[in-house]
Amino acid sequence: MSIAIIPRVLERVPYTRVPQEGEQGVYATPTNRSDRTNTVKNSPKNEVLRRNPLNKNFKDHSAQFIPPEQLTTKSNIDPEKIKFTDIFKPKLLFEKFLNKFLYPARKHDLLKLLKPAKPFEEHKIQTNNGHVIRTWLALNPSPQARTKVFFMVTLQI
Amino acid sequence: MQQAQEEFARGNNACLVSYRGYSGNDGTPSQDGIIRDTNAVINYLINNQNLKTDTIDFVAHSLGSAVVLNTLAHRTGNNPSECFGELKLIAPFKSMQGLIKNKLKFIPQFVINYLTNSWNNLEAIKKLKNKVYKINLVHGKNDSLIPYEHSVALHQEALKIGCQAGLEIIDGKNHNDIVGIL
Repeated sequence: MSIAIIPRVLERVPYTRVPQEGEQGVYATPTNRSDRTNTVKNSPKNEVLRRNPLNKNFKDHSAQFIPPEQLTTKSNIDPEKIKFTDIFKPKLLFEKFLNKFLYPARKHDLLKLLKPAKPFEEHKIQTNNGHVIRTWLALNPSPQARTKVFFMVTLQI
Repeated sequence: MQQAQEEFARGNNACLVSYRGYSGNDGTPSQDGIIRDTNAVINYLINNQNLKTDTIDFVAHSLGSAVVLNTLAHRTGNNPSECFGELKLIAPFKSMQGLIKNKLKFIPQFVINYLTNSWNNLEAIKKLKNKVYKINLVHGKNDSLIPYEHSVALHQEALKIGCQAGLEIIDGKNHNDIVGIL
């Protein structure tokens, strides 16, 4: 006896119940599959996909063939050539550690400080890579006004 | 904050810049990212608020001084003709690597060399000739976090390239309480 693995979605039937006595009509049941017209298998969308499979239209550029001899496995590591930095990544670890000190855990929340300050208006500025940065501006109408730009993040080590 | 409000009361405009990862901004702080953000803010002030570059002054404290110095140094390549007003640096440092070497002596040099966020202010200030009208450095003599010698070195470098530069060392002030008196 062969066992076919059928995706769960194909098992779904539009309406399944046992007809009661005196009721008329045909009810789809798992044994009466030929009557089903509204399944995923027969849907027009599925038909389009069958004619134009996605894997033909979109190449997977991330896939790259690596020959077996180049794969780093436990068996082909040369214990004499292995470097300390292959196992321990000091750069990543150190920067992670340092960032905790350098950028003081976002304690300086300008939002909280600026709540009572009415002349300041929030401006959302987009950088060239789409990142949005919040800035607060208080503008005087005078054309002779100078503009002071404040950068007040504290360094903590 | 108080300084910004005082500037506004004096009739000037005030702009408070936040960084990625801070004040509800997305992302995590990094040197490249923060420079890009600050560049965008300066461009916004010039292009959208129609402010002239020579009327824009910068006030920066501690890490903020590295942000503004490196951003202006970055802009010298793209906009060589623009010149800003005064640049006031409060308790700046020479370079992040040098500071870490001084503060965290147990960390070996080869690990410090791995740092990508170098914030090298000594190199950045060399590029600011004709970029700012004047550079003023202020440092607390009792600064336990960043010794005032860092400001002295930056001041000397600014003078070397022909910038108009001033230096003020204030007695009895530490790293954070110096901001309150300015």
